[in-house]
Amino acid sequence: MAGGYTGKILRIDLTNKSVSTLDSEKYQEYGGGHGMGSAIFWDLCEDKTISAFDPKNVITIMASPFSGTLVPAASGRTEVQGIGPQAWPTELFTRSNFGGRFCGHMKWAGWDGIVVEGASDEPVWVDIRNGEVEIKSAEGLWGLDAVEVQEEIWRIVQNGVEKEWREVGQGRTTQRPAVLTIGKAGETKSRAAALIHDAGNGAGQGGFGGVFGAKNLKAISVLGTGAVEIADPKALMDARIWSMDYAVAGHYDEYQPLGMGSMFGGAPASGAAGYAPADQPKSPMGCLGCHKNCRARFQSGASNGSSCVDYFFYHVYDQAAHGSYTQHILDATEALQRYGINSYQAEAALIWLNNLHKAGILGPGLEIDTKLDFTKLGTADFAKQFLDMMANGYDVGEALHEGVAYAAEKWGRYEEDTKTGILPIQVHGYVQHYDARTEVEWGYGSLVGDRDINEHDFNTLVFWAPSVANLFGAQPACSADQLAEIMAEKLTPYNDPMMMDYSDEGIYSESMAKLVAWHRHYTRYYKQSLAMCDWAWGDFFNEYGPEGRGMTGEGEPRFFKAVTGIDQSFEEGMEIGRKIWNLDRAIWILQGRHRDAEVFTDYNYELGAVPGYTTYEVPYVVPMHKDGKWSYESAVGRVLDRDKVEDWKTKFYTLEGWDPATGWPKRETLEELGLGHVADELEAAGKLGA
Amino acid sequence: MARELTTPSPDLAERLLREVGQAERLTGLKMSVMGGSNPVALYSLAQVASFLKIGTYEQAIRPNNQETIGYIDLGALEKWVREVLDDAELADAIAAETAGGEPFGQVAPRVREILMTRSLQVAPFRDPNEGATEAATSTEEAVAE
Repeated sequence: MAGGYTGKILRIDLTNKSVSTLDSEKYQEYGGGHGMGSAIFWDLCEDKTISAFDPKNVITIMASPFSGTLVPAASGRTEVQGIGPQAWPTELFTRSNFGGRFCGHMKWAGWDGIVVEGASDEPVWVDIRNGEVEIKSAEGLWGLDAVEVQEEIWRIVQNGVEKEWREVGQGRTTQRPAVLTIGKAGETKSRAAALIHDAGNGAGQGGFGGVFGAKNLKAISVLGTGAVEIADPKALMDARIWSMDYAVAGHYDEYQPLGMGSMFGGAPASGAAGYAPADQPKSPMGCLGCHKNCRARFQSGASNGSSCVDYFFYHVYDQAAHGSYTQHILDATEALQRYGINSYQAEAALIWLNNLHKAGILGPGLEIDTKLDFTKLGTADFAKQFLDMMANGYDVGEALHEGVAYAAEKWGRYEEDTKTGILPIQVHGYVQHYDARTEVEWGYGSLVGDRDINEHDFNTLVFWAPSVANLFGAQPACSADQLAEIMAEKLTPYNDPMMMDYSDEGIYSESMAKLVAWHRHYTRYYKQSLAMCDWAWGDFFNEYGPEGRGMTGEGEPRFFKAVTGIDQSFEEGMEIGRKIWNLDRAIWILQGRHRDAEVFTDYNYELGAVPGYTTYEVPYVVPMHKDGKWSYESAVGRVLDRDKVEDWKTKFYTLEGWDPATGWPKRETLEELGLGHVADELEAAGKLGA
Repeated sequence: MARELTTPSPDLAERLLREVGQAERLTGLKMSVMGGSNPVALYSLAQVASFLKIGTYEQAIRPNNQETIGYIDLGALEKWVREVLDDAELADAIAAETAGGEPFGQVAPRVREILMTRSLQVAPFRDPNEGATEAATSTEEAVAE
């Protein structure tokens, strides 16, 4: 095989407690990570309409050719796929992703990925030490929280020896094994359960923690002592050094701030910088091989490694109760990690519960009865009580254990509360992350996909930089003219500057369809299959780059060639991304997806973004093209037009080669991508686009 | 230096210390690059004062900066203080700060200081059993900054 691949994928059958291997070469055309995972899922999951909790659900945990190498911000991300229980009203084939060092150890142990099939009849964990794989009883581990279980597995695998050389088969190491595990929420099969690895790394969205629980799988531990074969080590080192010019431009001794939008740089520990008591010292930490180290360790040890999203479920309540961030937010976040709960679900649940409480609907003895004492909201004790309810499924947690969308259905509140927006679900049961009414490429991407996209490629440039600049009466480092020019150069094959037009007309245009399509294809390959971190790539605008140009378009294929030895152009990679995107689409179609299901919740069409608050300058400023000129302008108060969104969907489906009436891919589209076998299965199911 | 406010009466202090109902809530916007940009319901003067937050422009535009900006429309805030909290003096003080039309990032820290000053003034009226000591101490520290 090419450099960067180990050549084999570990296949674990929990039902029969046996292991076997798949040849990676069969799936190499997909790059790695997500692409390989989708293709393996397609081959091995015979009935794709089963429940996420069905033993026949197939879970893939994939590395990429970059995992465990020196490719910056691409060495430590692991991609997880399978049918997830979180989506509402239909469970969907979906994905999540976590950082740390798990994928590196997989590669060093000789595996390009792990496939989990079946379900054990008793709690088990998987112990992988290089090529040796054992499925072991989890008696003694089941019931431990997500931190305790890792500590116990480290003790077992290391035989009590810490920080000393140990023999592992033919190899030696001082490393702890990398453990992927679940907490109580996963054990109880919560749809809001996350997979947890090390401190602060989690795959939350999708509910894969609950799938592990359904399979009676407490943890997978992997320890590798090998190395990744690199096709051209000197080229990789040269590329890494070259890329550092885009991150720090020679300022190695002192951090030099770059303007917002240059994602490849960044201050150490910035991911957790704002969420601790001001007087509590912290130090930066990061994922394997990363130059950024965006996460932090705190003096108290609580919440170590967490990112801002993890604090978001509770930080405003700590602040409201105590006037500033205190130890309460760190302790609450620590509890979230130990229970193994998806932070986005916990955040939405608390926003919603607090609103229902204030409305006199939820509280002791009220319509939705609860023992939660909202006078304690903001304390770590309240957070722990709430999370315990979610994880163990009692009190309000009896419903919230299933996630907020299913809870809203159970309480008969889904329609009303998504109309008023007090339950901020945007689409498919996933809560709003960025506003579909203003930053439409985010909303549209989620609408035509399986989940909140959580891909920040354009976000800092089209929303953050202009909006924050506006709050200070300043101009962003990248002007709207320059942004359109750069994107027209980099967003190949469309190369259309109007893709940056977020005006009232532009958001429904064919150009916006191109932007969303480009984004879907780019992320499916480069970010989810080659596992390049969302927090650094793509690099479009970069103040250290020539004429403000970042590395995207040049950097991705340069690293790919250095590691694998394959001379693949950026455009060829984009085409692989399109292929993976269509394969995923076909799976969703088999699971029931139709254009009629691709509709935002009502508040997106009926309530203006931050309704009624338009007296001062507002933080919803985006690029617009008006009267032949580019500028950054406010989009506050905008609502989406239902008919125009439908028109946009038709443009998008047409662009993608899908049937506009159904949103189903056409045979010629799939065959052009080498997916004729997928077209055959869709046709057999009566779901091939006309 | 915070704008001076007259000492509030016990009645006014009681109004400023209460939590308003859902229909009277003020909506802020918490903004963080990784986490997103989402509305937050605010129910009391103390919550508003601690939520309204923005650093310097240099801090805000750092790549990957994760510190939350607590945004509240300052016009809406003045209206809420005047009509819901019924504190005309505080509303006038906010209006005086915003009248010049300076950008939010420059005005908001001064408005926050005024809100903190008022919070500090009413803190002694709080029921000590409701955690007033901790909140007042935090407020004092915030003003001292």
